[in-house]
Amino acid sequence: MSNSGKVNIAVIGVGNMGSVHVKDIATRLPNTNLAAVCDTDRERADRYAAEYHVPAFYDYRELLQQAGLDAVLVATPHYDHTPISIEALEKGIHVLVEKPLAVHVNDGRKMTAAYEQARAKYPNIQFGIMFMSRLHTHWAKIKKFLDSGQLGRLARATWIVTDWYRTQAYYDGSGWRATWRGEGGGVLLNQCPHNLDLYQWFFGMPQRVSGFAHIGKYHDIEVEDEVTAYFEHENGMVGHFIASTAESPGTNRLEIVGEMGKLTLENGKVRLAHNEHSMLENIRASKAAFDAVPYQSEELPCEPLMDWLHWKVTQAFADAILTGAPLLAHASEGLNSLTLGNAIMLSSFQGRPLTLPIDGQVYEMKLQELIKTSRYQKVVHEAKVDFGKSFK
Amino acid sequence: MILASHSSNYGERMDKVKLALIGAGGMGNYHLANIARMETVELTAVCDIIPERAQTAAEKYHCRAYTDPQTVLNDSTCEAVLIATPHYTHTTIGIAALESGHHVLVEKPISVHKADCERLIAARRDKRLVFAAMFNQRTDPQYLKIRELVTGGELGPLLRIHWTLTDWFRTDAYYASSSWRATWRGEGGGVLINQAMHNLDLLQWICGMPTRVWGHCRFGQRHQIETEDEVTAYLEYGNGCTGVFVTSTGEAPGTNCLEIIGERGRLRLENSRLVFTRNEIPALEGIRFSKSAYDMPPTQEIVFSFTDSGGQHAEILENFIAAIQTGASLIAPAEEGLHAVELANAMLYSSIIGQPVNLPLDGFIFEQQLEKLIANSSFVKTTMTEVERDIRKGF
Repeated sequence: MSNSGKVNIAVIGVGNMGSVHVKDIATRLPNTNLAAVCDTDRERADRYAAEYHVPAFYDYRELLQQAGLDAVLVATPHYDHTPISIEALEKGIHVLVEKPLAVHVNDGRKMTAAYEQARAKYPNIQFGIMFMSRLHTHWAKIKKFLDSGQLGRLARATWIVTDWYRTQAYYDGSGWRATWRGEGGGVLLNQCPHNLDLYQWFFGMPQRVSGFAHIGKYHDIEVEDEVTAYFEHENGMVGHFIASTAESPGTNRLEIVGEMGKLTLENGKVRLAHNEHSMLENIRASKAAFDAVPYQSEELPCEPLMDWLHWKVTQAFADAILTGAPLLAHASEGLNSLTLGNAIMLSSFQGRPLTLPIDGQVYEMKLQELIKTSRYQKVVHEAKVDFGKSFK
Repeated sequence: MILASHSSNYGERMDKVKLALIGAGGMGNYHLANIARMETVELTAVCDIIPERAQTAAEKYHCRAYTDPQTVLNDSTCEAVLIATPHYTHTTIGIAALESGHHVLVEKPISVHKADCERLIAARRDKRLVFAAMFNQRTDPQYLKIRELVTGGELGPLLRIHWTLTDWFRTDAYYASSSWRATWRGEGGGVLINQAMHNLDLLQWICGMPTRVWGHCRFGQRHQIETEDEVTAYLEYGNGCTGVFVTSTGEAPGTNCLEIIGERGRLRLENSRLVFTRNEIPALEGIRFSKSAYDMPPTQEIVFSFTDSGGQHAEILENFIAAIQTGASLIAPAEEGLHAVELANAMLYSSIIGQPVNLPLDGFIFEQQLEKLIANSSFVKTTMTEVERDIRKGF
């Protein structure tokens, strides 16, 4: 820790997302100090190093050797999350990793294993993940409401999240994007980890997953850009998850049905239909063939989203290092969304439902095969990037 | 039997169409009330296998009572029949009626399974006979509008369809009210063949038929029944469009939300409000030609509100009669009823075999599957006699 009582954090990967973190760490957060920036793209590393008067590194291994480095924020392309996080943890350096945790569950498990090992040596080591969506008022409100048990036993959750419209220019903007070798997946791995994390945060993990993924259906890419998934939970609940990067205007609608009512989130509004008594009890007890359960409708007030909340995750991460305060999301929780995404793809490849947990080895081998047999030729063009438009 | 003249548009007063109702249960009685209000129809007979039911209705509506459909067809003076019996008998009675030269209006589903649909449709050898199905929701202005926008090309090529249709809440008392209900032997299915049949018809009427169906049916999940009461189906269409159809009779208040996405925007129908969010640039053109990574086509919102729900059952009846009297074109020709049954069958069959099913479905294979379900059924049905029924709440 630096003398100022701030955490010395280096940002590894200063692309779209990393550059936002650099700014937060250097200028916004009271408990962090930007120690260095690191990017394999020298020009990019140099640019941010000059702007914030910190050293530039082009190889993360060199960075991790530096004395006085407390923590790293990893915002590289997804595959690199794994070796960088593992190496940092082994050196006792705290890690905050961007989503997704890794490309596939095998890599994710290696990372959480490395954390467990590191903890034996460095008991206070922190390993967080950037699930800032959990902080958004409407998601937090839904989580609180679900945890209160007011919806009773859950029957169905349907999430249509097709408002991730991306142009071909977006995919052509980086060489690694939307390739098996460079990114390891498409909409599930890039745009949807937040949604999949919220899904498992709200409902827990399903028992069975059926996935239907379409590869390069609407874009010239070799990974999935439209996905439908059907989840079956042990408690009888079913879930639907539908995602696409090709729809305009796109939909973001989450509907949660429990025996005591229905909660719908759309356009930033949470509507609640609260049953006066359980619909499941009514099925059993009613003497009427055509019956209805009386319910009250209300809108749960939510503040509009005014700001990106990544900085709050970073601030909490630094607090955890300084004071032992809890993380907003531990990296091991990232295994769940990763498992969901991998399971949807594997189910789709195999054409059958899968029971969780999935065999990480089988998925990794499938991925290797996709990389090996890839005949996709990536053409990279600079695209106009207004990154502020990318969040939902 | 003399067929109604198709040349009656010369201004002379048309004769009333002599109609018999077969099946005087919940729906049958509902139709009787509509028939009684129609000046173009003369109700000649009511037939129900339960004599008291036939008798009560016949007394109320001043016509003859029958207990055997064949006798109605042989003896009564009716020229048209409305069939509102349990589903399996739609086929047998429908075939008998068509073969004896009667116009037929059949309740949905036109048959329980595809092979029966084909048999029933083939029985209409005399093409002068009017053969219609009770797809009353086709008269609903909101669905008419959607169909116009989709088939007229306003929405462009379709990308995705989603229908969450879980507002068909039914109690155990409902299922216990008739012994045939929600059994493989008596009804041949659950929510798909019964309640969602309307919506499956609308789906194919608006969007055409998928080429592949993946069904996930849950049997007796929320009710004491042996057939499906919760379903998710994933559909793939020839042009690459995908669809998800979710239905249940176990949810209250339930949802009825239909969303159809095309290149030119999104249609969303919920709570009688249809919103068309129209893209100024088609979505896929935006993808191809935009120079910006996070660009979105500008959109414009058009809202359609609907205050009435159309003529419904009465309109289908009137249309059937008009088709007999004046050759009016049918709102719902019975032949088209095969598609919804095929969709329901495919969802069920896919679910049972745990694999996707390519359409067209092999009707014979499905029929065998259904027979297996009937033969293997160990379900003991409890029926209750004291069930309150207000069928209007059922729509």
